[in-house]
Amino acid sequence: MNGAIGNALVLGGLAFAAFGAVVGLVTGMRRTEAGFPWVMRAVWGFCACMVGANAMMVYALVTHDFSVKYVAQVGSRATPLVYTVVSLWSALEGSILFWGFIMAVYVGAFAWLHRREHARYMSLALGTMLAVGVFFAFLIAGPANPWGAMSPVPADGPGPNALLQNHVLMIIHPPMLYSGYVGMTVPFGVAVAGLLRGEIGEAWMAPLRRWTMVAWLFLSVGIILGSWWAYAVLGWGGYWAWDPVENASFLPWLTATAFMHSTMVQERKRMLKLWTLSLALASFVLTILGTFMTRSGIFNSVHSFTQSDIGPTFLVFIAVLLVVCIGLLAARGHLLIPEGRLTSLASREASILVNNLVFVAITFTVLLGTLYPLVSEAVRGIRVSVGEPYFNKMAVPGGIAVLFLMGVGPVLPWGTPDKATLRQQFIIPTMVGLVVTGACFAVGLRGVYPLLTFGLAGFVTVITLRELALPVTVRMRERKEGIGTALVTAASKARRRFGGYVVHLGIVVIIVAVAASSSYVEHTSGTLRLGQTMNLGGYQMKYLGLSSGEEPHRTFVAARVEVTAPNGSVTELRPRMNYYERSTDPIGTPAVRESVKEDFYMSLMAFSEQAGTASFNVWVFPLVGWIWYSIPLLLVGTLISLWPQRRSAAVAARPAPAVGAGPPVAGDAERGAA
Amino acid sequence: MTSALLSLTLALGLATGQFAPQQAASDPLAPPLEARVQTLGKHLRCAVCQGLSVADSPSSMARAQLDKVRELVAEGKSDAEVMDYFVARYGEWVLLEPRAEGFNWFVWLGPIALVAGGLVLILKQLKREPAVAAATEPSPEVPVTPAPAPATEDVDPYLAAVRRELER
Repeated sequence: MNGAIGNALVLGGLAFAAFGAVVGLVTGMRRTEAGFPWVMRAVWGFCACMVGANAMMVYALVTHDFSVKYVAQVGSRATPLVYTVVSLWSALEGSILFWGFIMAVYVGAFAWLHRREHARYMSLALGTMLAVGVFFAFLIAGPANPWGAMSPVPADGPGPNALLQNHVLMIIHPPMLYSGYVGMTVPFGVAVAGLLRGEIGEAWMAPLRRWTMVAWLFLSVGIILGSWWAYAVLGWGGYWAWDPVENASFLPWLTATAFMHSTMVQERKRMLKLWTLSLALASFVLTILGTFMTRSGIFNSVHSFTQSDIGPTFLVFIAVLLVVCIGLLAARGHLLIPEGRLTSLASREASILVNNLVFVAITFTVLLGTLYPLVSEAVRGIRVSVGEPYFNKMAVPGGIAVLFLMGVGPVLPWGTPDKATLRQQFIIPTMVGLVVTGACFAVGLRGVYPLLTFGLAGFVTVITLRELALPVTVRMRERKEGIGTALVTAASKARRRFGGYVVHLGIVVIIVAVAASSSYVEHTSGTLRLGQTMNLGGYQMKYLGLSSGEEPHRTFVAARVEVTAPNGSVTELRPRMNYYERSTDPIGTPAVRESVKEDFYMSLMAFSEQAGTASFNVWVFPLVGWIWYSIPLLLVGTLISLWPQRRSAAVAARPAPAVGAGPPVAGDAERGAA
Repeated sequence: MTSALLSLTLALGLATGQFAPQQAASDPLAPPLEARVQTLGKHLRCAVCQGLSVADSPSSMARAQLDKVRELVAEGKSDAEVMDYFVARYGEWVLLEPRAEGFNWFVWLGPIALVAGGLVLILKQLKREPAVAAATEPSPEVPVTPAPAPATEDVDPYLAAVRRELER
């Protein structure tokens, strides 16, 4: 019964999406507004069906309706309620269904927020998004159908993948990442609509940018949480392995980041129009490619659940997307003529161009490295691997270039700079950078890359803080405002600028944490007898014995280890092995003693009750926690940038005498703030 | 019922030691040699894992492979010889970093070519400009130097640039 209703809802969603896509695209192209109300109705229908189908599946999971194929596949009466709900996205079919849900929310939100905008444009944009909806509804209805009937109905199921039940982050990480992936559908729809109409209304650049920013935020948080999960669960002492699936999530993040920077050049200098739109399209295509790589099983990974038959459908869709995107860019490119010019290499626009080049180069490298094993096998018939050593070698210089540009870019003015002023602006940050490098060297840190990174981080931090503080101090001096008022007004008068720099600070924190934790990691492994001790990086561990216990869905064996930190504090860590009912191999959970300065990380490798021994793998990672502590900075910064600015306020801000010194930038005030 | 059964089997398993999933690895070598073992381990792919290196993977296969590396290094084999040993057994696939030879040059030179091409494009944009810019520059931007001084006594051009950026 549940299965039949669910199936009907998915088919309904498919019908609504197909109807809306056809009506939207056809009427939009015919330059009539008549179809718009019907497109909106199709959107509401699509949303209702997708939300309903997901609710139905959750209901089937919670009530343990094992007549539904997906429930029989991932459900289990022994699984706690939370993980039962979460198992909605713990296997292929459910995750695609969940994908449909997020898509419905995005398309619905976009349609609602922009319902009063230009009807023809909206028809095209929503039509494009619903066309993507057709693809996903088709996947759910056909190749990845979760509703199949089971006969005979099993009494119980195996429960979700044990790895996914192992940590609470599994509840947050996938929805975040999906929201990032699916979110790129909205900017894609807007960009395609613009290209189809043949005029990129300047007014549409703001929604394009803002919706990309929403997706970017989810993607960033999802990626960081994913790395945190890998760190906390997989127990091999790392957070990023350049796994094809990690790469797949990184690719659209890179192009979306490049996009958000190039929109600034487009707005200010009327350059890079075609390029900016290409980046928006590329971000979306890369999310679909990423989903394909993740879900089709062409790569072995934690994430490819099973060999599935969705591969061909995805390949066809990717081919169609590529043809559509390249065709649109080729057909409409002549309408997007740059009006501005690059006048100096030491200008903001030049620095953003180089930024884009670096991001695209990293994207290309990661894509090439990820796909090269497939290429090599197809062309030469030889299996090769491209893994961590390659990616590190290629990406580290890229990361350092990004860091450098984050410092230089904000100082450089638009247009043509005045050399003397510029030189003066760089004196203090450069000194700080040198001092930081010198100090790191003095305390005994070595290595070219990490020292360069720390120096540059100091350089960028000074510049970013100065850019953040300058408007505040000016307001305090000239308007005699208190520091609180000045900070709030300065932030709200130029939200994108302020928020952007806060995000920059977050990125600096991440880069420093990555550099420190990978360059100065200490590692050892060994087998301890009861009462025996072992040392690493000033920590002493003493093996106290085994303990075991039971939780609703698993039993575990933990090694009790007394850890004495360098500062003398003593804690007991319990790295453990979990045994799930239906899974033969145990899954380890490392134990971590976190601190602001460094993490002490231990995983249990083997144990023997009789011999009274246990083997451990132990690491000390300096600063590693800062990778996840950066999330609030990214969140706050992006939200400041995204916070809607009332139109009246934006207009009023322009003629304010104390702030406005130069000529007003024609027409940009409202758009820039929108 | 099932969980009771499970804990029973678990207890049995513990008693016989069968749940200890791996054997402990061989003892580390002297520091300089062990550092080489770890670096080599980072470059070799664990045969049964999902893209993890022999040094990173906790699986027993990877530990056995790392032990083999340790053994070879202790015998005084060079890095290249150790690599060759593994390539001979597992194929090129075992190397996590493709060798820079033949078709593999593609994966090494591709990104460099892209960066070079991109830089050329950017520089070309710049060179083509001066003659046109003087006549048709539609950009609303004004160079920094002649920026009109704000009403206050402040004439710092940098500050002026920041102001202009903020006034939007």
